[in-house]
Amino acid sequence: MDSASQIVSHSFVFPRTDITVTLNPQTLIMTFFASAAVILLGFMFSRNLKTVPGRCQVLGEAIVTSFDEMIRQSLGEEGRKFLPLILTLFLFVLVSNWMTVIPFLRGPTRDLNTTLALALIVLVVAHVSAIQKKGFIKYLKAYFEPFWFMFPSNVFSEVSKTASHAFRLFGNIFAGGVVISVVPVILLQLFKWFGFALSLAAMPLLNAFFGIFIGGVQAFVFAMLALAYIAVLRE
Amino acid sequence: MDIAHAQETAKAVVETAQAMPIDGRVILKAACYLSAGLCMGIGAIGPGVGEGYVGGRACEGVARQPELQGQITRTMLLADAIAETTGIYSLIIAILLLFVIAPAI
Repeated sequence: MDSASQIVSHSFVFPRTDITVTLNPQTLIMTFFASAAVILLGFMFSRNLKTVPGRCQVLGEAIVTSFDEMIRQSLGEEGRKFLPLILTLFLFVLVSNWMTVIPFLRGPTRDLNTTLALALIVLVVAHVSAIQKKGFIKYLKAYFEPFWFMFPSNVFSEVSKTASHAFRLFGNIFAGGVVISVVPVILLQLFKWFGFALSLAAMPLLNAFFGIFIGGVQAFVFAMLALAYIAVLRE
Repeated sequence: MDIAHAQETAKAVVETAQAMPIDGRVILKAACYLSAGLCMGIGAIGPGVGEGYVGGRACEGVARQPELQGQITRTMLLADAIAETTGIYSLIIAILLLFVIAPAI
């Protein structure tokens, strides 16, 4: 439990003010690694393209084509300008979720700050693009639908959308990490002589399920929800 | 786990409890852990029912129209994520209780 709850952080106080900034070095470093991995992936996917594709090109083309199709279905032809954003969100979250599988590494998505930042990016993009498409008056009018007194609940639903977007990813990855770290210990304590073998067998299974499977599904869900939020505001 | 081992453990627990002075702080801490467990247990009922319903309906849809499997699976995952939201909220509350409020007491 200790390794799951332990938060390594450093606090800095700005001189002559009361502002305290807490930095989490591990999250920062892992974010840099994840970004580097995503850039490397993009480089590998797009390097020396051929008519008869190699392995990397097939994978890249499959990912890009499937996302392109989904975006075209929900946003139309003009929504294709969101393809880079959605695809980058998907790849970044996927890479950082799968980082958790490596022992002693904590992916950036194990930190609420990262997921909240990603959700805020989606929020800003969705609202700005809605204003650009519909104009400011029409955008504001959507808050007073269907009746004018629904305004507070509409605003609250926008806020809770972003909060649940961030909490969903963080909660899933964090809970998976807690289960991965707790279950082998429980097995070790519960069964006497075959507990060690049992926990040794449980670890890769738990990592495969909570790290690879749930991580992949949550990355997909994060990207799809970002797309859905953008599409709802633009219509 | 054999009987002698269990008896030993129970004895040790009773001895620790007798040596421990129980004040309000201990009770508050115990209430924190207890309510975190209750929060997750009760909060997971709704998402469980909802996701089961969504999954069952998706199976029906695939059985009726197998050629739409990809689209149905995508929609199912999205609906699952939405149904999960309340469970995630209760998870956040449980995390707050366990890792923020209980150590502060």
